[in-house]
Formats: sequence, C-alpha cells, structure tokens
Amino acid sequence: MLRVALRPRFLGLLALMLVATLVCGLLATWQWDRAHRAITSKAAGPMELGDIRDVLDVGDAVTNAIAGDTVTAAGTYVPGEQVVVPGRNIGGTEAVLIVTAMMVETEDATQVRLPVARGWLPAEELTGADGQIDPSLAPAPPQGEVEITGRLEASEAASGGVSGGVASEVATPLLVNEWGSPMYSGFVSLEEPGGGLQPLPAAESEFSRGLDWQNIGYSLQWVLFGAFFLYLWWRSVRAAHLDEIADRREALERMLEDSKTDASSSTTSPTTVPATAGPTPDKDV
Amino acid sequence: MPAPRPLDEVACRTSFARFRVASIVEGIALLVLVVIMVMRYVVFGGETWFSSVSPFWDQVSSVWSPIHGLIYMIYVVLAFDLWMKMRWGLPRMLLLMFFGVIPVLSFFGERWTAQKVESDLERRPTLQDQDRA
Repeated sequence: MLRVALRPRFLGLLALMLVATLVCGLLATWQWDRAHRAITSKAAGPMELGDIRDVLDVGDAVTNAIAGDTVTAAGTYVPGEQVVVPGRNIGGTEAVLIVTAMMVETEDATQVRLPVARGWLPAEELTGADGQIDPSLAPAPPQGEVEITGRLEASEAASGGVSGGVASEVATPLLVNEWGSPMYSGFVSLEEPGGGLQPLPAAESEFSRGLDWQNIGYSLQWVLFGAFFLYLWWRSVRAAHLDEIADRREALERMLEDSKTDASSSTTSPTTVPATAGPTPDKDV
Repeated sequence: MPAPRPLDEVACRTSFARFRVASIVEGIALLVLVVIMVMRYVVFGGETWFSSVSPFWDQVSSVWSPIHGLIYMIYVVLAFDLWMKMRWGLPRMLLLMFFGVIPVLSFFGERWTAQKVESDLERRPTLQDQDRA
C-alpha cells in the first residue's frame, strides 16, 4: 500500500489534504481561544476606561468586553429618581441595593440618565415599622455636581417591575419606564460609596465564569473535519490499492485457466505459469 | 491501465437516493441560514442601511446554526458513502463537500452528480451486468 501512497498523484493529494487539515487546525485553535476569551481578557483585572461618554454611546450595549471595567462619570443625581432593589444575599447578609439616576450631559448637550448603584445596606436598616421595605429610609444622594468612579455593569434581566420605589432588578428596561429616556443601557456600581453604604460585589454571568462550552464544541468539530480530510486521503489510497490487487488476481486466474487449456493440448508445464503472471504483488497484501 | 472494478449498481443507486435527499435538505437549510444571517447582520445589524436592532434574530440564529451544522455533517457522511460506492477520485469528494457550502449550488450539484452517477453506471462494468447477461 505504501507504494501506492508514494505515487506523485497521491502525494499531491496528500499535500492538498494536509493544507485542508492545517486550516481546520487553525480554525480549531481560534475557537479554542474564543472559548477561553473570558479567562484571558479579564486576567489582568478591570481596565480603566475613563469617562463613560467616551466608552458608551446612548443605546449601545454593555458588552462582555467592557463589563466589569472601571469608568468615571460627572453629573448630578436626580433626588426624586431613586429605587431600592431588595432580596439580595451579599456575603450571607440580606441586602438592599440603592440605585439613583444621574444626569450626564453628553457632547451634543443632551441630558442622559445613567443608573448608578450607589451601594447596599442590610435589609433591616430599610425595613419600616410595618415590616416592609421602605424606600424613603434609603439615604438621599449627594446634591450638586459630583464625579463618580465605578464598575460598569450590564443591565440585569427584568423579571418583575417597579412599584412604589422598589424594583425587582437593576434593569434599565424597568428604570427607563420609571424615569424616562434617554438612558444608558448599563449601570455603574460605585467603587467607594459614601454615607454608610457598602460597595456591590462584581456581577457574575455565564461569560465571567470562564469557559464557553459552545466554542469548545466548535473547536472539536474543526478537529473532526481536519481528521476527516486525512481519512479521505487514506480511503482513496486504500481503494486504489485494493483495486490493483483484485485486478492482478483476476489476471492471474485468467492466465491459470488459459494454461490449463494449453496443458491439455501442449507439453508446457503449468508450474512455470504463475512466475510470469502479472506484475509483482506488493508485500503488504 | 487495467479495466475498472465493477460497481454495485443497486448499492450505488441507493446511496445516490440518500445523497439526493440530503442535498436538497442541506440546500434548503442553507438558504434558511442565509435569510437568518441577512436579518441578523444586515436588516437588524444596527449599522449602514438600517438602524434597528433585534435580539430575536440572534436567538433564531443561535437555534438554527447548530441544526444546520448537523444537517451539513449528515450531508457530508452521505456524500462520502456515495463517493466510496462510486469509486470516484479524491477531488470529487472535495467537490461534493463544496456543493454543500455555497447557497443554491447544492441543487445544481445534485443534478450534476446524478448525471455522473448515470454515465458511470452506463460506462463502467457493474455486478448486475452478469445477472442481466
């Protein structure tokens, strides 16, 4: 079979198949890297992205590439636009998040709302006399122009709604209905909240948790395709080889039959026929 | 060059019938994928011509893409089966795989393959020749 494989035609095809396999290998590594993207891109810790107006346009999504990085913003808190988000468990404590709208002026002089998670408080500090969460107990935001630094987070998925200043999630689709538009599509979680508030832990997502198994799957598929090209080459060599063996066998059988009929009419010895029949067969039959 | 090995005509025709179905299914699946991609990246891409964005087409795409991938793999396996039965050369296998990745081409590829199967069965000796004789 090796002799068949070493023919120029099959060597040329092998080169072609190797190129195809190589391309598949590159695509497999590309998908492999993508699967580990979250781990490698956030390995250096949060990046300083600067002013939010340079990072995010109004309506732009907070992508995985920038979520969790640090941004700054300057503007004024809107006193009446504040919600509390209860039902969180932060380090074993039942916590309530406090989210306030901040007005940020963009370059074209529009006032855009940026939801700011100013921090969290233990639930008991915000529980009124009736045992319910009372949003009016939440500390008021600082007045006037302030500069903030915090972690940019993507909006949470909305499941409930907002009623009486209590929101189910820090979700911009809920807040934009409560406060009005335009609004940034993510929120900023303050690094150093003042007024007795605690900073929020970083949000976790499928992405931030690491490996993307879909990309791992794609990577394995490319490996499979690459192997398939080599397998195809081997099959075509094998088919050519088996065909040649079968042809030789037929030629041999025909000769033997011919020699039998010859032997009955002439004096030629039949034992000498196989030695001359057909080309020499490969040894690895 | 020795005479070509006889083909098993029945097996070849069965394989081609399977390949033909896979070819048409793959062609339709690929067209559906193209429509989804156009909706996702052009119509709702949020750039160039249209400004609207729709997460719906992202979801549709995330469902259909793996299904199409599976259909293509089945197509390749059935093409491989036909290729082996027909004792074709390696370049033709690559051609059959190529038919499946260009939109609309698989429909024409299927007709072209049908002609090749017919002419080869006509031209080359088959196992069934002896039964007929």
